[in-house]
Amino acid sequence: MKKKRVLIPVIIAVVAVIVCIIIFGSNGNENSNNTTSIEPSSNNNWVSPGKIFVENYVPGKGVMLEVQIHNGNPTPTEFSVGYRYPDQVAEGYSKPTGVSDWVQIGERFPVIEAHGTYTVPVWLHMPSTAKPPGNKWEFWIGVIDKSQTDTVITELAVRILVTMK
Amino acid sequence: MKKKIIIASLVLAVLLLSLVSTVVSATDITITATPSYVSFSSAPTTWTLNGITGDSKIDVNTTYYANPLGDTTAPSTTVADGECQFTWTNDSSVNINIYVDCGSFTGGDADMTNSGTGSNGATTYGAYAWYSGMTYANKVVVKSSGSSALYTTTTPGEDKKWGAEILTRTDAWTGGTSSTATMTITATEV
Repeated sequence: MKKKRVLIPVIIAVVAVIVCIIIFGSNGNENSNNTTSIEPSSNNNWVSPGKIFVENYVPGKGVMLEVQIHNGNPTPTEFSVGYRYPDQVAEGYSKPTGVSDWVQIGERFPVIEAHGTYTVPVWLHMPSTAKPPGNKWEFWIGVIDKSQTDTVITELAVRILVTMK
Repeated sequence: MKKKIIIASLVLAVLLLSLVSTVVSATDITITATPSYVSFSSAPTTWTLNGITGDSKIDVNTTYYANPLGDTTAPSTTVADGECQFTWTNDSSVNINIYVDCGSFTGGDADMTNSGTGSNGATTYGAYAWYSGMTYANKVVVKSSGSSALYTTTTPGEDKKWGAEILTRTDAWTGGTSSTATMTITATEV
């Protein structure tokens, strides 16, 4: 009987801990960046990754993202890297009205060596007083090969999907 | 004994609350990315209105198609490969969506801005894009930005023929110098 009385609070505590872990999760590393990339043909331009998810984002905090750009040309080539208002967003995500000032590109016009790959840092920093466009919102980072001088050009875009805490 | 159980429960409750706050504060910003790359091409890289089979001179209030069968020939009810001037290739490791935007015609005497509706006006042009195999009536409006996806879920390695059309402005040209616009084909991971 005595044992039982001691065990009751312990059992309650253990159950509570398990419930907490299930509800709040256990992987809470700030800015954990699991970006990896696969190298495709060196003769094609490419960007990596295709999508970056930023979760539990809080106004006032800054995060650094990385966009890899590969120059598939046989000569050094200038690329433009910039905030891109998305043509469309994922279901459940809002379009990013007024957020362009929150996105800073580390290098807007990198010149990448022939068949070289370059990593451009992108900082997302929403002011602490700013109002997010929604609980979930999306913006793009557009990458254009500036050696394209014709009238039909291609752009590669990285999707950034943000979920507020 | 009851008193002891109550005290023990209270102590545990306090510990529990501090544990909850610790876990909540530890759930900070996480950044995850899929191990993928996006790569694609589209060719040819030029399009002159009325310049595929025509003499490159354009009239007002006229629709010009990126159609190898004729600059003023509309595609069939179901668009065929041979009616598409361009081909895109998905060289990505993942499925991609394709978007087509087109800016203003500037620098000449045929300047006009994109109406964003597909229709033309006094100083505006209308534009659409389509691809082989689609029902032509479902063609997608080409805007200066924010166009709907022309094609979703293009698979890795897939080639697709596509074309576009532009309905020139209704007002007369101011002279004979040509204007140019840039059509941008954007690829994103699905």
